[in-house]
Amino acid sequence: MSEEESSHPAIELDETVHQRVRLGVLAILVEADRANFTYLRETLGVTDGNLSAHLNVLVNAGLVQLDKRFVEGRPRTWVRATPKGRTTFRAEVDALDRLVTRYRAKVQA
Amino acid sequence: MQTSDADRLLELTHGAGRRTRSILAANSFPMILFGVLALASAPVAEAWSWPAIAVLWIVGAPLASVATGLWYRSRELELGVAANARPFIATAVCIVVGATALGIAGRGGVLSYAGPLFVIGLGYLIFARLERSVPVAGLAACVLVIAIALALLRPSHGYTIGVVVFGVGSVLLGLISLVRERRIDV
Repeated sequence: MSEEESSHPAIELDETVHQRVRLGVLAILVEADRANFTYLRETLGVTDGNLSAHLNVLVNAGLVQLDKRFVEGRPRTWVRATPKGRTTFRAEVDALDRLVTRYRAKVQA
Repeated sequence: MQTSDADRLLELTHGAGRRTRSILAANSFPMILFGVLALASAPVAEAWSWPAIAVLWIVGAPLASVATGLWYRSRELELGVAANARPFIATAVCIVVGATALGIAGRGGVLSYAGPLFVIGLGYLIFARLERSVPVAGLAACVLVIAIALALLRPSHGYTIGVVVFGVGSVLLGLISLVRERRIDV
């Protein structure tokens, strides 16, 4: 494997985070301290089941944590990014940025 | 993976982050409330002496701060997203305590109005950094310049000049933020 291939940004993409909904969840939680299930669902345009499945993946990877509370008698699930989640998200966006920059440089050359 | 996929994924990611940042940058309520409080203190300063202004701020600033906290809490419950409140609360407490202490220590002299205005300007610079808001940073810089100018020039009606500049600027930014919030929240 050449040096260029071994340092290709695609290699640095994280399998867990590299998915539209999961990346979107982390993008929101990096900006905010916390967001509830409804906000995430509406902002990302997904169904309850779909969001739950993706949140489970993120929780199992230690990237987010859930906090279930009752507010005005109704159950509310709040989601926060863990420090590992924030770091992983930034690394993923960096890798994607480098991938796009590299491709554009090749197209222009 | 295709680079066009990476491009689309990045755009979706940045879009979700931008929307959240815009919602969290809402500050119409505190900007209008503190602006009106500042403007309301101008006639008090003209009609009565400095203890009346001190009483107005000692009572008004903590009450307005609590009302601001409740407003942010209600937005959090309504919209389902919240910022980390700790740095905002710490900054607000420093502004209220610092401005009140300097206001009282000044005993009606230049320190009693230039000092609090300077503390408010510094505090708003921190708020601007936390919210990543250029307009708030602009208001903070303007308030700092006015505070320094008042301390150096010591004009008559110095307090009134300071609070009118701060009050008008704060209310205007609050109204602009209100229009933006209505557009985002819809």
